[in-house]
Amino acid sequence: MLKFFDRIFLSVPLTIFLILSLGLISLLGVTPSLKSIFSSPWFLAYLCGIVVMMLYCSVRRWPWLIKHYCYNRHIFSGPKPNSSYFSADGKDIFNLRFDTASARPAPVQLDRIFSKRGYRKTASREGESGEKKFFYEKAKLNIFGAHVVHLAVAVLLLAGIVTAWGGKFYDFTIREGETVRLEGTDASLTLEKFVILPSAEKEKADEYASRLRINRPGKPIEWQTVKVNRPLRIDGVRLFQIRFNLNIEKLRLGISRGKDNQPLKSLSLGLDQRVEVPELNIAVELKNFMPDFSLDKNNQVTSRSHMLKNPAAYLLLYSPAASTAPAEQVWIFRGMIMPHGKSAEPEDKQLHFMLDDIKVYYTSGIKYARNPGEYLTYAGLIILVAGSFLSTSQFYRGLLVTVKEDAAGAVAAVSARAMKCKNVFTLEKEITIMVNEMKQGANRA
Amino acid sequence: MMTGVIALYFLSLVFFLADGKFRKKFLAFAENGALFAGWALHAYLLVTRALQAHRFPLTDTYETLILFAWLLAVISFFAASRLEFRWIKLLGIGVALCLLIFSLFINDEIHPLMPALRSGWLYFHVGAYIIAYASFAIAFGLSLVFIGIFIFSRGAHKAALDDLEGMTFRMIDVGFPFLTVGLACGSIWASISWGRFWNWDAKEVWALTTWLIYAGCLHLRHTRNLRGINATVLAAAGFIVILFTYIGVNLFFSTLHSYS
Repeated sequence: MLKFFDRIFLSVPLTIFLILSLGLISLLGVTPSLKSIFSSPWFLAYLCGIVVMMLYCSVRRWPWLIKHYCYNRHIFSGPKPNSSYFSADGKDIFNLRFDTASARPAPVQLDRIFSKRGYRKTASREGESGEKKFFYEKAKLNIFGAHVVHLAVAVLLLAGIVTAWGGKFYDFTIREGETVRLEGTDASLTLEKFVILPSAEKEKADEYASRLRINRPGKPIEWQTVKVNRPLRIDGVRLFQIRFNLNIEKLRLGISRGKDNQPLKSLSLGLDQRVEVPELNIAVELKNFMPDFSLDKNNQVTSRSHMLKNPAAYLLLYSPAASTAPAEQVWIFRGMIMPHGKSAEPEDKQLHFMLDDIKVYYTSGIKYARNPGEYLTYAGLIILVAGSFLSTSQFYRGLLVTVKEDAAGAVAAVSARAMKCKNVFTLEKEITIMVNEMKQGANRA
Repeated sequence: MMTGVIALYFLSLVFFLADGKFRKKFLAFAENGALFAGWALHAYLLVTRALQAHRFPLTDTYETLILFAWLLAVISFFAASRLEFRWIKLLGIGVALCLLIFSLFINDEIHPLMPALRSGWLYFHVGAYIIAYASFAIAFGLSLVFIGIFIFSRGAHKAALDDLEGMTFRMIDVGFPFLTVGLACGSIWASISWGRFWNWDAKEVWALTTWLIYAGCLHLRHTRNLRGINATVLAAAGFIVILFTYIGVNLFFSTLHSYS
């Protein structure tokens, strides 16, 4: 039975197929029209399949890893060192002879050199005829690194599945003074005030925040503020300040005449709405409202902020009223009279335009997020980071060292076999350095 | 000031090549002198930018490019001495020079920092990615040298090729944990700022693809004994995907990361 599961869940071709197809689906899903595939049931089933495979692979591997981790306890108990942990060729990585007559004993020297490079002696055995065996290891936790990464990926995918199944995410807008019920809780929210917090530094854009009143039956009223990057948690639901809209409630256009600005008409109109004024035989239309009009360095019109500091609107003036093309297009401002410059009328009869009454309100754009997989995701990410450092920062090294001294202790033959190492390149470099140190020690003697 | 940095790095490269040819002590001294002076000036440029912007320079393409170039110069120096292969410096500083010259054509204006970017996670997320990218850039350079030697010598010079391959993967080993930290921090930050750990945004998907390529590369090497030309070609492909993630995604897709 176990063999059957092993054949399916430990199959390398199947794993490669699943990972490649997951990559392909992810790349296709970036296209907006195909984005829905990520929430489709078959995609979740597909993720479930990968999770099961990864968890199975991980669970099956851990007993072997623990045995490997504890190998130093049994290394000398069998007739031969376990061949699966050592390279297949069975060759020694070095085999040296030292004259140690006037120096410290070879095992002491070796211990000093190995310890300096971070190795720990984890097993030793004294054999017959002066032969001593030592087992040195370092970076032992590295054995688990890749498997911790495996486990982390499985946990993260599992968190993704939990999120897709039980999570809910959507954006909603709320107007100042409006009350909404918070889905999945008994709380109701009222947006008491939406504020834009001007930045004191020109290098930073203005911040914005929603002041919310939270009302729960039988509980005291709470006031909380939600800002960008400062989400608010209410009964397991998180609220995020995402965006806001500036809405025009009222916009009035004042029309006056002559040098003394004799008021003629005050029109209430919306943006992009053409209004005729029959008595003056004109039609007007306002476009592009700017709350804080300014010109950038390329002379392009822009709004410096979202606050009503220097409101302006783009006026299209049709004269006569029935004409299709505007006779004049001009930016008009609050409290500033703009003459109808292209009028054929004499100056004292010319029309003047001005924005004279503007009322705006803000709607706050808030994201609702209920994510049952949140803590699982945090756990998965922490395990992932730990696993990636464990698996690549240092590589496990195990050296089985044999020292044979002659009866007088004057000559020692030292040989070593290395356990399988994932980074042969640095192991070889390290061995070269250690062999040189051993030779220097012997020469000094 | 940027011209000064470019000139000093260039000078360091000239002394490096001269030292390779004539093997004179003063040339090595001049090479390191020019390199340290270039670093110092480059660091001063970064600090000045940070003081002007009232934040670490990590928020737009220009800032990440000049930080990337600085880190490349630093990492290549340490990698060259640690791996005992001085040509890594040539690769690192050469690529840093290209990035700095490219940055001269990019808008270097300081833009107001939007509220979503005002988070401590920005520094961990972008910082970790840039360290990873710098390591992978050196690995990419080494893999290109490997591929070049392999093609032109038809697989001869085995010892040199083995060393190059070992160094390529050592640099990938250095960069990979930082790539993971960048991905994890980005995910946590997205959760805090946008309400979801993962939004299937184009940049995110390509960043994940990059991670999968390097993870697959290391996995195959450690468990399936992937070696030689196949291993280095895969490592080189990983960096090409990084370049697309870093620059290409913003050109071809509409993304939540449009500011980067």
